[in-house]
Amino acid sequence: MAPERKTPLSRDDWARVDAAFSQALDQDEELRETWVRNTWADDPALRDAVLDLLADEARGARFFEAALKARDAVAAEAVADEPGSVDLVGSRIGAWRLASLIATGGMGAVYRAERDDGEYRQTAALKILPGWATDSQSIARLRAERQILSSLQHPQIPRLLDGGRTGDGFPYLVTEFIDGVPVTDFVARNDLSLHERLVLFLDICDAVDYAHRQGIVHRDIKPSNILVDRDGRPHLLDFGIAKLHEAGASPVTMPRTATGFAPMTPEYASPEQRTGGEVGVASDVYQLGLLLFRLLTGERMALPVDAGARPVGGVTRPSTAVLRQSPDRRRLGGLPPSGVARVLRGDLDTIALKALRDDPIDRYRTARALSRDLRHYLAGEAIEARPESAWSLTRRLARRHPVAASLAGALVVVLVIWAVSLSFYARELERQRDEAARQAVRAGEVRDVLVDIFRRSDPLQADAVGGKAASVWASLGAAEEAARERLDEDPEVLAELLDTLSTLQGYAGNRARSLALMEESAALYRALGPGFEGALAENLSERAKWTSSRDLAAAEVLQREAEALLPGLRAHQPVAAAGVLLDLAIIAYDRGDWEQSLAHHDEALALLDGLQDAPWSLRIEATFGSGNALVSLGRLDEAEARLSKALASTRTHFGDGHYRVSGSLAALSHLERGRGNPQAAVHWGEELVAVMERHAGEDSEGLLAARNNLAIAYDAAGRQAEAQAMQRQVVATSRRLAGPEGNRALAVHLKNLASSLHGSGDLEEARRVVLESRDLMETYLPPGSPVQATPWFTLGLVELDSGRVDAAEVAFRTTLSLLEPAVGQEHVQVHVTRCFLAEARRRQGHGGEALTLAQPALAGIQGAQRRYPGYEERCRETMARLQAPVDLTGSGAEREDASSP
Amino acid sequence: MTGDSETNPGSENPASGDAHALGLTPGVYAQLKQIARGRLRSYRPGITLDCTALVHEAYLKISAAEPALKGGSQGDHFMAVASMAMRQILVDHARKRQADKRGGGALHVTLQEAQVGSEGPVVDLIALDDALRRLARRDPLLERLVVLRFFAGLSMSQTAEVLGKPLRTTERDWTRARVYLFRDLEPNGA
Repeated sequence: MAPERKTPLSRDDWARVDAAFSQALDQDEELRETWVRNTWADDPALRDAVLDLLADEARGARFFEAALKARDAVAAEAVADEPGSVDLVGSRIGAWRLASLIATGGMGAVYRAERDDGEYRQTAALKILPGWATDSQSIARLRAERQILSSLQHPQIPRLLDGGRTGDGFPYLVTEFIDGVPVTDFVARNDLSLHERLVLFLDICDAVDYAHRQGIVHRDIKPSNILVDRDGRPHLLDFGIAKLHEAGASPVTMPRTATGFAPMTPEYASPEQRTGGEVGVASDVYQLGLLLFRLLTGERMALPVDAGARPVGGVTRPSTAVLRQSPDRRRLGGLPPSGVARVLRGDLDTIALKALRDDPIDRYRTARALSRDLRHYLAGEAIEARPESAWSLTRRLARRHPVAASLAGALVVVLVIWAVSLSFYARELERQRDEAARQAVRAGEVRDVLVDIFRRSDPLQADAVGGKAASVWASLGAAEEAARERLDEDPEVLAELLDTLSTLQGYAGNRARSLALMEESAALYRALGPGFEGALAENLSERAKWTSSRDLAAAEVLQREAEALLPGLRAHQPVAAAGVLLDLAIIAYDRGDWEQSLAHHDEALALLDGLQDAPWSLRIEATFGSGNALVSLGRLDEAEARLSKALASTRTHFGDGHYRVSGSLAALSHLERGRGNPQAAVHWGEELVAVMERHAGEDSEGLLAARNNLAIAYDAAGRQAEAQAMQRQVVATSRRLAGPEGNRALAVHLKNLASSLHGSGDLEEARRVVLESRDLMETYLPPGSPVQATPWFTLGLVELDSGRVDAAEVAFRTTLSLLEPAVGQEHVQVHVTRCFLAEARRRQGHGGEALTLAQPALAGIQGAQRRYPGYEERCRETMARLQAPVDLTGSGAEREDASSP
Repeated sequence: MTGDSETNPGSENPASGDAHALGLTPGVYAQLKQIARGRLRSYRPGITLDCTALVHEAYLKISAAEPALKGGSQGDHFMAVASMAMRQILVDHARKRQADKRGGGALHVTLQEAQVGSEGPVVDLIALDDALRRLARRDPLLERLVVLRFFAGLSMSQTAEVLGKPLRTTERDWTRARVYLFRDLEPNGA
């Protein structure tokens, strides 16, 4: 068994053996030995060295299993070095005998204890706190804190019975013993309904609120600290222990509290606990929020850190978290996840998120405020929480944090801004109808926020907000009515508010209502006359943008009017002019007039560059839009520069993972694919998918498209397995969304899956999939659409590679008949198809025709700016075979390639 | 054993050089070690020490105080440094125990219990640490891998991520490292 002693190797030898060993390990396990014997048959010394190493593989693994035990043993010893945590079961402390160890943790060990002084029988929980200093000051503080704790008299807070110091000087506390289970186990075991969970939670809030009013903060509220007894009553354990711990902590054995590293449970820590900020009532409110989240969703809120434990911003709404859970999750309170999400969406989301705000100032001020709002909810009354106040949003903006990480709140934010401005304006106007003052107000921060973020229509945001919080959408009508009533004497403010409401109606999907409101505000701007050209022009151009997709003539009228106002704006209201130009640029882009679109974008950029403090959101939009236009124009290098710049400033201003980076990422990925850099395309594509996964729903078109494009990039990068897995996922989602009838999107995704299957050689499945795609396209695409050609082309490839040359010929000819009328003779895809047709003809024995087809086609492929290396390669092969000396065995033989050796 | 001579393995700090290279102040490094100790305190015999959780906790706490450590590759650096701290703490403890056994220390706690019933060879953590230093001279990457995977207890995929290597390569290298270290420490086979 034991190998002979190895002679020491020189360093060079070692490197050589190591390299060979690495290579051997790269082989499949069963084949390794054979592989080594074959590969180094000529070098027996190397061969034997490698075989020897391979033979030690299992022993190395076993050795490390033992090493792990040694590691843990040393760790255990480190524990034993810390006094106060030695298992003390059976021993006596004060009047108490320790019966069993209940729990242990960084905050000490808890024992079940029986009274042992002959007085009377009593069961209690005895907790020994580790790591205390023994100086008199600490002891005094400890005594003071204990005094305060003993003042807590509440049915749901275990009473403090006793306390003192153990023989070796460690403080202990004795409290009532609660025979119960952690609250999370309790609700799961009894499958409490959401309503019952809320009632239980309210009980907990009341206990916390009681303690707060005694001046005691818990600091470590978490499920394991809340036990529910047999009567279903929750009890909150360990009140004030964290503080107590901190008060008496020795700087030697505890993480230094002076630097903010207070004892805590990281998974349940509030942001200020994590960052060493001031910890108070707000911190308990946050932890109650975490508990509420857990009770409502059945799982812990994902800490705002990513897989690598790097913190990221934003909190997921409970309703979204529920939907993200795996489909085989148990039902919660008798409801499937979708049912739970429906209940949570809206008010409960809002309440939980308000408790979970990063900034303590933005949370509920007290536990009581939180429970009061929940009681409002349970009573069917309006809740007080608003997702985020205008001021905190402004603050966050000022700090340039990611704006509105949770866009569900965006709408209500607008409403709040709107309400704030409304009352503010009304009051202000009441007091002094002074034009200058009004201008000052209008130029104020609230308006800037409003204009910057929400006034400019933003399809990305609309997508993310769309369809959510139905109850809030319903209130838009009432808001409009109030605005008209209170502001009929101030057309200027009314017009601006109507514009805002129109944006909101747009988000809500009421496009017609939105346009009607804009038309009304346009009339107001017109009546106001000089000074309002900018507002009017932006209104017109935005309306033109939304109208152009359905009523081109009407859109053109609006556009011309906006354009007529432009010359004046350029000089006096450059920001408005830039806004108008951006709208015009989008109209031009959608029309396919990319030169014009680029020109508008460039002019907008030039205007903004001339300004000291141009809104960065506009600048980003212009940079991004110009890049996009350049991509469409095929000016890829210039496009890359613009898009990279847009991406960088989006990251700077909105934050790294913000939804808005998706536009630049998508464009960059697309561009790199076009430039023949599949690795770079994959890089951007993967980030895009990650961003979309975080911000858009699993079923969103955006995520589907992003995955689809990433799959294509994988394919191009030679990562077929990943491409196919992703493509299958996309098809499955698309099929589910499309229903039994299928749709156009499904057709496209099927076609892409077919291409990928063809690439991996799964020709039979590829054929089945592409035929389904072709049939769907015939149903859902207009006749003559060049997209119809794509499944035919893929079918041709599949048939060709399956040896069905005649079927391939038909498919390629059909491809050309669909393609040529739409894109012309010189399109690279036409050339590619011709070359494959040539290959089919060659195999059919029509070498002459094949050569005539292939020669110009290859030139066309090589001359195109977009690179198709795979196709080019195959076309070159066709040419080479056509130009090779005539094979006397005849071309017919090639048809039987598959059966010949 | 290989023919390499080994000079005074205990004198050098395996991590401090790297910590400086990463721009960590000695203070941060000290805090890191302190958190690790705090975490160790919660360990009980029979419960596996969750080194991964430790490293994550340390990351959460320290990156909040040291924003420069946040994000991207810095996060990976952090994991690497935290792992080196784990190694140092464990090896220091092992050394201390060795010293105590020689009668040099005042501690009376022994850990026979934890070792009773453990199967296979009893591994000397100090010897393993020394062998790892020797291996580092031939292949520093293998050393980093072992520190992450073994001393910090990161999963295979986390280790791969921190090292910036594909998972398959990392798995292969883990096998290499185990075989070499095993051979160094058990030259006659187990």
